[in-house]
Amino acid sequence: MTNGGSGWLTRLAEADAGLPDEEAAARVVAAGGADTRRVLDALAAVRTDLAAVPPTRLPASVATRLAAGLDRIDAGETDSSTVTIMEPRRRVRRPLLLTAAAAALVVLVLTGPPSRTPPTDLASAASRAVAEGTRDVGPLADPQNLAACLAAAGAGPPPGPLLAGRPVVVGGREGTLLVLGTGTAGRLRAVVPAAGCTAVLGDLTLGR
Amino acid sequence: MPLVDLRSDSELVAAHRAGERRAFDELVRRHGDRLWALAYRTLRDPEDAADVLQEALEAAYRRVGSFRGDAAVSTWLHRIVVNKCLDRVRHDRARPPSAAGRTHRDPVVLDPTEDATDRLAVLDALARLPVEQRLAIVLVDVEGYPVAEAAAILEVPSGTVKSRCARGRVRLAGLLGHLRADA
Repeated sequence: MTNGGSGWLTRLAEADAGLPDEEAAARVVAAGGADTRRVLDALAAVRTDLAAVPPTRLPASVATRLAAGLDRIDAGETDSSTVTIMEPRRRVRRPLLLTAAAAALVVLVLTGPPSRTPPTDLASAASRAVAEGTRDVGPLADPQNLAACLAAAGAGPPPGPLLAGRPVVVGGREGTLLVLGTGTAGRLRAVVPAAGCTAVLGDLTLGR
Repeated sequence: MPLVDLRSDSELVAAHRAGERRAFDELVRRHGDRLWALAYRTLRDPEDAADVLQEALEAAYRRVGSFRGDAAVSTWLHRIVVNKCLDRVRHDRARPPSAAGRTHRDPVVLDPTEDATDRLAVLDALARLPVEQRLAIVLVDVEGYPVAEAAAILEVPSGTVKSRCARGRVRLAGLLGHLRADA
């Protein structure tokens, strides 16, 4: 490298970054010649490379660990608690701590008729259940049962009527896919309470 | 629970203090991708990143009740991840290679696109920077945080962030072939 070596390079890079201040930096840059231009182009190319790194999402396997870890903390606190609480405290296992985009990648297996269907994801399974008009949800077809199940699983009240549903397996655990209306056109909620309504295996809002 | 939780981060913290356990889950859903990106881009190793993120979020979960609100909740969460990353790097530096090893767990499975991303020379080069420069560049140049926000996360002046970025970019320019030593 010409024109003063690494010290000069560092000063130029710092000027490029706006140091020591924008005015002084502009003077340093303006005073440079061909070498300065070449270095500035190289630094710009580096920034372009870095900005082009594709975004990464929290992997489902890591989200699973996180949920389990927080559940363990809850369990420990529950066990050691001597404080009287308003209601008997129910152990609630968390659903996966995934953003909506990442949750769409959670693999689940459709079960029940038609049988032997290949693994799919929550969004696809919900869309398919709606398209096929499948409502194979057993006692959860009753609105009161459905509300009680979602509450017990920790999913909150149903946001709207049951539109479709079917048995599924998520991560090896049996559950029931429920596709619910939301009161907003074009928006659905797909939620999967585990068998026995002991946990939420998947929860995803679809549409806008 | 509403479909889309419209509460602010601060309101979620308050709800957590009031005993609503799912409030913290919403914070994780809201910030999880960016916290993961910070840990993964800084540490490069998905297993290390997963461990660090878990340690950080469990620490945050335990301490959120004492969060005083002197920074944004997202900044506070990022700080915890940054400090856990620094701990991990310094610990690994001090640890003899023969002592390496972690508790066996299921491997982290990345999205298919991550495999291709992993091979990018720019990430390999990034991993060769000192961790302080790496963190600044990950925040500013990769994740696109404003310098002031990166400074708040790293708990250093803005000028320090700029300087770390500048020095890191020079090093990367050489490593990536944009600057040749004999030129």
